[in-house]
Amino acid sequence: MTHASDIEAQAALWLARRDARDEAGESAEFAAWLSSDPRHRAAYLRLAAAWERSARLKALRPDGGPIDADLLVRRRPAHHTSRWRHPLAPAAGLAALAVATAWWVIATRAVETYRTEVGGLSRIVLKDGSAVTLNTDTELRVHFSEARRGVELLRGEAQFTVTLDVSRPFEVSAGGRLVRAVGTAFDVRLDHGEALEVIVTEGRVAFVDAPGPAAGPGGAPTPATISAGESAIAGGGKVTVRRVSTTETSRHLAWQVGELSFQGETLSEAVAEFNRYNRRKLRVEDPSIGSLQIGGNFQALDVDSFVAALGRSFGITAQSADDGTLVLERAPSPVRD
Amino acid sequence: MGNPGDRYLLEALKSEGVLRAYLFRYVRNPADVDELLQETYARLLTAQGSEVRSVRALALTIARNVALDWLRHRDVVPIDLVSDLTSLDVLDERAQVDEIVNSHQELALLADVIAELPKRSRRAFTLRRVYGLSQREIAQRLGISEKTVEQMLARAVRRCAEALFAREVDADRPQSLSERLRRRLKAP
Repeated sequence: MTHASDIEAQAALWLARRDARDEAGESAEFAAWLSSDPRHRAAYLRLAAAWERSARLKALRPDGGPIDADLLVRRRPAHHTSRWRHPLAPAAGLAALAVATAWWVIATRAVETYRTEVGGLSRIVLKDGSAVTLNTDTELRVHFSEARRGVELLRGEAQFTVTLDVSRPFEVSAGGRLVRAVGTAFDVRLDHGEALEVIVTEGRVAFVDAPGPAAGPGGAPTPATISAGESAIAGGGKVTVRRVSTTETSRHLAWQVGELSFQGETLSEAVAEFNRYNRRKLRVEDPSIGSLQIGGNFQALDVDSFVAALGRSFGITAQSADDGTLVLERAPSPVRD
Repeated sequence: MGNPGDRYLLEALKSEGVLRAYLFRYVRNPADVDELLQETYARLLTAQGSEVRSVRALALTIARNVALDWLRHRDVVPIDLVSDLTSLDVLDERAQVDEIVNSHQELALLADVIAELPKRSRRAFTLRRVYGLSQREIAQRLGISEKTVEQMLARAVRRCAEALFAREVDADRPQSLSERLRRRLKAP
């Protein structure tokens, strides 16, 4: 009996061979192989589906740039650098050391900043094992030291799942504020460089230096900690903490599976969300439709489906403006007699 | 190409993670899981009946039968496993969540997989799938034979399929995509 892995290897070679010859039809030899065992056909179809889907990678090609065979080379993840902390064996020559050092310098520089484009989504694992998911248009800097695990959110939104390390707190700074965790999971979103929202899904995090006047008489005390199931919005000098339901939390975090989830948000708010993820922007000019309440789940990158849904539900159409944005407006009412 | 069963197979690929997890409960050996999975797909291709309500349920049923056949040929069959083989529903529901892979997750996943490939495979695949160069052009550019390009691409597409379809379902400890990917890439 031929092993599964052998069949798959054969199937892969057939696929590559047919790709080389640009074969649309089936050669007799291929047809014979394909039909000699249903497992052959199964393995081939599976790989062909993967090959087809890999066409998506074209999206990563920079516009008009030269061909770069190393386009998809990995920016070394942070935890890989730790191996260079081990003292190099004395036997290693100077050359090796020089190479290693150069690599270390490059690697160190490379790991410090992580970015996603508009519409991007990226998951990284930091060297302490903590995982970070970067949402659309996000920039993050990582600087770990012996005493603290520091992360700076320069722009956008990120979800952190922090490994427990009591001796080294995990600190996220964003918009002039600092959020500290020991081992927990939370989401940090920075809008327009100022409004900061933190949603905690596990454990607790603390606002370390929440600015603003200390709680005076009559003023709400500055909240120190946010617990699981709570959300804190910091902006305009104050921090507001409120409880969020599980449903609301999962709606907030739907971006991690590429979705936007609305439940009663206004069309203007929904449009602002879509615009975070897409270069093709939507705009609402008519306030009477901007206040329409929207519900439903949408693929964040699928503007067309969203517009189509608006058309079906509210009779709203999109007109392309000169600057390339899509202006949402009420379709002219059909003339009735 | 183009058989009625092909459609079932392509649909079932979405549930490959579930199918693997299901088979793994009885087989406990990744190489055997591969065998049984391929057998499951092969039977799916020849499945009769035009009124299949859920390809996923059909695939799971076939996987169960394949696993049963396999167990029958063992010397010792743990009886709890066989009785457990009927409980498909729980697994079916639980794993739905894991199958949500949308376009940009998939893109990131593919890019990750390619990045982890050995250099020549990575370059060949990048030139072919990102830049659309022909295999001949790739061979010239990289200074390797066309035969080698073919082998590099074959290797790469297997990793893509593995990453796209073979996501593990681990109910006890949900892992992030990258954690799962990393774990698999470390496996021999």
